[in-house]
Amino acid sequence: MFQNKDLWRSLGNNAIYFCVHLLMIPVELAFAVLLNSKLRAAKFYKTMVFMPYIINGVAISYAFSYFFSPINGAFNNLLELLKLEMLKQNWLSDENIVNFVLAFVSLWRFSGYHIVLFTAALQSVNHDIIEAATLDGANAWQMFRYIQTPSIMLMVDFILFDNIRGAMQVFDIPFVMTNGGPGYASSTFTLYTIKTAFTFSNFGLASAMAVAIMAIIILIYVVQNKIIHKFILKGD
Amino acid sequence: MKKKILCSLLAAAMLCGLTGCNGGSGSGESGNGDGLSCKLVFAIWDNNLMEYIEANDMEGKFKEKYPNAEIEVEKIKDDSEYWNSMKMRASANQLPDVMFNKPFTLSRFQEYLLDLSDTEACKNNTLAEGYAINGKVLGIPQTAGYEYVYYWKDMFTEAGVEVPDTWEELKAVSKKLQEHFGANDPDFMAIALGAKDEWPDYPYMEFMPALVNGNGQNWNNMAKTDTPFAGGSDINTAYHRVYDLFTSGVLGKDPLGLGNDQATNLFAQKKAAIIALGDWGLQNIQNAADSTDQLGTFYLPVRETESEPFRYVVQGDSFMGVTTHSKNPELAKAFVEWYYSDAWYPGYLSYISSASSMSNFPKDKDPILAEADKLQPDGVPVMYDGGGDDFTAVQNETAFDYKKLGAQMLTDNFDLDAALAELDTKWTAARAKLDIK
Repeated sequence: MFQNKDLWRSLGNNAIYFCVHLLMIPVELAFAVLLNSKLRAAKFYKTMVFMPYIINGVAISYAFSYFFSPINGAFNNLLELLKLEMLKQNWLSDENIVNFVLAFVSLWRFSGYHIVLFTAALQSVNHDIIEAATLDGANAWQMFRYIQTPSIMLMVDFILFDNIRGAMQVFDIPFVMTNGGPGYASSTFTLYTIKTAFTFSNFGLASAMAVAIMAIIILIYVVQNKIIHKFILKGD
Repeated sequence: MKKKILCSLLAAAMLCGLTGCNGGSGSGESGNGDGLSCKLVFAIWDNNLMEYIEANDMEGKFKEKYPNAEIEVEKIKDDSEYWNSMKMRASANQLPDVMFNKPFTLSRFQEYLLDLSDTEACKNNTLAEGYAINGKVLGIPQTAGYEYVYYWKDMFTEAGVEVPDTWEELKAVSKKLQEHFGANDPDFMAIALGAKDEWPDYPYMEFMPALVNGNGQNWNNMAKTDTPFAGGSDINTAYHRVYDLFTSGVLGKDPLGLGNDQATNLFAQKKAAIIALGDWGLQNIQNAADSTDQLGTFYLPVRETESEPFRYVVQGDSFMGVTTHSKNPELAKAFVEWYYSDAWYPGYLSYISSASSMSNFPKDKDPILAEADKLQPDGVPVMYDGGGDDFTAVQNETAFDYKKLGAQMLTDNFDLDAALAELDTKWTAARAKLDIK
């Protein structure tokens, strides 16, 4: 297992999903704060951002594979319409960008779920504390940094864990959109595990991989937790 | 006295028990079925066949010919479960009387299957002898499957090209089509290929090694050598030809960005001039095209020069065989004869879409598919074998995925010779590890 370069490459691709989602978590939190404020039509926006999460993942992947298609693909046509032809790419077959395209689809699907979770957590923050902070003259940033964020740390922890689990186990999007290709350029650990089991009938190795991914998820979670609590949120 | 009578009756009953299920003609049975009697177990996995059997009272029809025979159809959920079950039953001496095989399982069960070469069904079957193992016909294929290259005749005429007869001609024709139509349409593909899905390259990657020298047993032969991918081997030759074609620009601007559905639809809309698919592909094209008046077919020309025979792939499917575990081999053989006779086979053949494998019951091909035969009246069919247990074991050990390899040929910086050399190294190690001679 350790000598299999395609497997390592697949694991490397998982890291792209992990990093892209991790970088987006603060943005998702900011959106949640915005939707939690007195925004007009906030309910409508909440529904809209949550919608991609409840649509079937295979259907989303299939639709996006047409969206990024090199022929009659809506995305390339959109770029043409905006006179941005120079940005047109082979979105699903260029080894250098394919994983970022797939991570974008994953982001489109799961960000709304994170935003709704953050919103729910923000709504549960004690209003007395918020009122007291307002009376003390806290501005929006101070309110966010010192009142809201510490109050929803449990949810932040959960979302960070969900990000690791989701990124390490991503399957449907690369399976439907690229089949892990070209070659193994967009394969993921789970995709490779399933191929090992069901295409090459090597169930022993596939089982070992399944156990390994569980260990990797726990390891990353522990390290990430330590980093976040020790260095980033040390004041809290 | 009573004891003596009882003993005599018991002895008579035991004798009857021992001889009761004989398949011989001396059992004194009446009817027009040569007196064959007893029960046969017939194992299948195919849902279509099961539906047809139930709707058409197979047992009743068989009884008309053999009134004392009974047929028990044992339907197993799917083919994977079928093979697992048959493997276990083979070792437990409990195989059914009649079973179906795939081309690649014939070698696995060869010890348990009787030779059917003396049957009328075998003599009338166009494919059976091609799949004989050590001169023995172990199964009679129920259907035949063919592979075609679909093309638009009007596009060929407009570009001034003709149906290719050799591999070089295919390359030249594709190139000319790409230049002609690609000049005005940057999205045009001379050959449509949904390489994103990987499997659509199977007409090239799976069948071409067998077609280079007409060796349908190519995969099985590969399992017997350490370096099957070395220069000069059939697979090396075939994959270099495929690589040359795939990298010549005739697959359009981004075949790796398209799946088979998209490629087929684009072909149907005449955004591509050629597509290689099996006989099953015709329906997909007909569904997506406005008109198929100009649609034609030819067989994939793999030969290098016209002096070589023109070979095309034919696959037999569902090989009906009689097992050595049958207590009534004569009746089981009679069932095979009956199955492939006028009493059953023509009806079933018209129920399914596949082609006939029997010369005495020909089934007219769709006129579009029949064009390929008209273009190559002297074509030589190659009986394709999907690879037996040894090949599958080495393939799994080395993770040799020919369809993925075909898609990888389209990526930047792909080195075919290095990939084949790496496969040879893995192959040698796998054979040693698995102790395959």
